[in-house]
Amino acid sequence: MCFEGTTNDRSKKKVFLVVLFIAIVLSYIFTSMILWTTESRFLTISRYSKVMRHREAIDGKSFAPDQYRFGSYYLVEYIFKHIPLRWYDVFNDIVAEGLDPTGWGEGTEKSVELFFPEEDRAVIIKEIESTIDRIIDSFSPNNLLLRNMLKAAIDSFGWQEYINDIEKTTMLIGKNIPGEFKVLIEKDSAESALVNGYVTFRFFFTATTLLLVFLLCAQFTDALTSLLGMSLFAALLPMVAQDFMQAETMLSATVFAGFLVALLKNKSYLLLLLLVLLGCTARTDQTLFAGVIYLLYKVPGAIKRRKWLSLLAGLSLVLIPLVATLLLSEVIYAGSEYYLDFIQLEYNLNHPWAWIYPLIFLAIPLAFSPMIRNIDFFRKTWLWVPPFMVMNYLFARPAEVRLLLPVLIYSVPYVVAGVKEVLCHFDYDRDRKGGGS
Amino acid sequence: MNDRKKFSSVPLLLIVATILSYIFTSMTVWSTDGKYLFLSRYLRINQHERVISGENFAPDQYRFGSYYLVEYFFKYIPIPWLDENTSEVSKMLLSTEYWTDEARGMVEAYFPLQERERIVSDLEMTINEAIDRIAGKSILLQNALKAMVSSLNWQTYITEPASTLLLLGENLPDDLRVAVDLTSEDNRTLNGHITARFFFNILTILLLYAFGRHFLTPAMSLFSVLLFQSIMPLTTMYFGWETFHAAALFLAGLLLIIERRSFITLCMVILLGSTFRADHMVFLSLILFGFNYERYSGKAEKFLLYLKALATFAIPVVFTLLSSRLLYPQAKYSVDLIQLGYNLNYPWSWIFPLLFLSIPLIFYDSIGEEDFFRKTWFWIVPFVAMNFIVARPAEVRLLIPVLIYTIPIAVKGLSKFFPIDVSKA
Repeated sequence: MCFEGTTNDRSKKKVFLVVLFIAIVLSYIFTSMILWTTESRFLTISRYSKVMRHREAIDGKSFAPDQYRFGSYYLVEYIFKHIPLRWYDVFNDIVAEGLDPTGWGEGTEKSVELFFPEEDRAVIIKEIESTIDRIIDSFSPNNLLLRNMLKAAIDSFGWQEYINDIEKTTMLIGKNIPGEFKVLIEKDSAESALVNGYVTFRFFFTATTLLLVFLLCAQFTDALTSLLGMSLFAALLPMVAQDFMQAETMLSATVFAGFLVALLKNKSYLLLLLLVLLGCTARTDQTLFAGVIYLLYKVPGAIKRRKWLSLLAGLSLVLIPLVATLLLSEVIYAGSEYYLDFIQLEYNLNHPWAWIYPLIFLAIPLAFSPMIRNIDFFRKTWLWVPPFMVMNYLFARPAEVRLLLPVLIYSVPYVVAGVKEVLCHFDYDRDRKGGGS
Repeated sequence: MNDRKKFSSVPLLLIVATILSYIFTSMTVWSTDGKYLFLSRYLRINQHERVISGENFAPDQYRFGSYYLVEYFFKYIPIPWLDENTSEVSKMLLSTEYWTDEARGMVEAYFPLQERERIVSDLEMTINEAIDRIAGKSILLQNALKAMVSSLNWQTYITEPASTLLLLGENLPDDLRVAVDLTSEDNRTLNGHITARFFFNILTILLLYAFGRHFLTPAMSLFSVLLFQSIMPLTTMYFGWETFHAAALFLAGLLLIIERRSFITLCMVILLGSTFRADHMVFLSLILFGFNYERYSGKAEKFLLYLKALATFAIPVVFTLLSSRLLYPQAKYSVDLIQLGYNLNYPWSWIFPLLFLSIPLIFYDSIGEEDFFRKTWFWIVPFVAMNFIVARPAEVRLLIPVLIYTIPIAVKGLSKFFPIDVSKA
């Protein structure tokens, strides 16, 4: 009674439009939010580092393992840079206005005054003064003349004025700011287009990920429940915002979700192969496990029916990411150095958040894990999750929960199947207006 | 069928509400409280102190409720909130143990030595020029200054970030130090604000579910909560202290009205809500009035309804007058009162609200199907107009009341596009 129903073509089209619309709105929101927590986190500095990282990667000179995940850099360089949607980032706008001599209206001055009042500024000036005095005293303890000269010289800089008169200071900074930073603040520069290109790239692949999560759910349940699954996924997604410097996250999520959908829809092997190849340009480790899922799902049957070609096909989906990892690290970008130690287990053992965050991120899938037994696909394939988690605890930092996105994507269908069971039973128990929290 | 039931619905709701709130709250720590590292922490801590001592600017000073809740309650619930970047920099500045070889390697990767050396030589030139300018013709002073500057060994500050940052940490002014030291009493207060946000987010989700249940099946009501929670990240560019507090109380008011609960309770909720956002609470009076207007035919009953509507209208208004004239007459407005000109010239003032409310807008036509919405939706018009005239709706958190009010009906309209109309299940 709850959700079941038949579908015809006209309503399918309508459903698709509604889902597409919601996916676009939610991914616009997610993308904007990540812009505020990542590209504008430390204002211009974050933008600067994004542009530098991009240029290094295009030149093949970035550090490992980021350099191996070159797919996203090239996509931005050759496509998304050229379609940079405008993204709203008020903090960057404020910097741009603040440094621009015409930007300081009465309103700006008033805001500064209210958020950072004169008394507070006076306190800071005093503290800095006493620190300077201490330094001068320690430098020339005995020479009174020199001491006074130095103090006078430092005073003649008029540095107190810089703290007192914020407007003058920002103008001065604006005038002297190095060109490489200035272009990041200006909205029409090529550098800003590059940053916006990254954001647009993320927007596109977040929307495709959301759509694919919907399609993935739709392999197991009706359209409305699948939409519920998509918005559950979107509501959990903000947790990845803390560590989101890496560009490839949503590209890799799209490939992973796309692979699962293609596998469940029995699409051609060629498509799966292409997805694996694309995945290797984003994250070979996650792509490897997409191959493992294929093996777990298809191979037992293939062995039973003695279809050795199909076994070979499955094995090659696992081998390709492994070979790609070797090629990328030993041959193509042999010069890239790892900036972190390779083995991270000890760090994770001592870092409580490496356990708390994954638990929270995956709490809902964990709570519904009994559902795995009820659904053929999950019963056959869930075994990829433990080694994937172990890999992340050994070589990565799972407190950066974006690394665990494949597990979340994979779990959404059985979670919504479980939710449906709970709430449909609930529905029988009470009448429509009887419920409550 | 019930004997096969593996999960039950109340724990499910609680888990979903807690997890989603935890995630959203953590995200606001990164996007808001931890933005610009210590600068935002410093500003927020200062603001808290100013409100408690009654010296903050208007209108934030009038919304003192959330600050007092933290000062006397939430501060003492020590839920830790991770802010990795902040805690990383805090350790860089304050802890010698932080600087392991790995940490040094990371700085090296992000900010290579050649780049630092280039900066050193740029600075050397600038300093020499500055010294020449100050010392003028006095060779003695020139040499003394140069000697002093070089004895400071500032070059090593740039080439050796570890010792620089530790030295900087040692010499931080006290005001800033409390913001940097994550174990300080002041950061505990800030943590209290975050915990309060977490708590009120859970409450908002539960109340929104209960509100949705008046029009939707449990599954669809859960869907409306998920949708709400995944639209909310758009509010984080400007996230107020009291955002979720006000949302929860607005919803509580809606529930009391629709369930026709006691009028006194409604008044209490509106009064409490006025310490968070009086401008939102005012509109509950319109909803109360619209919902009950056709219900009464007798003159006395109608008169009583007028009185009730007037009372619920008066509470937030009188509250605001009292706080601005009597309690905090000195609080100044941080921006001009009339913002219409600004909004007309600022495209994001239109794009962001449209985006924020796009789903309710597209599926608005179900409003006619539900008695409650047909009778009460008119409050949205003056509310939105008010926000365009005296506020900046690009800060979409201001429009949260519209979102929570419309999301159940939007979900109902949306589900009609699907093969089976579950709203009738």
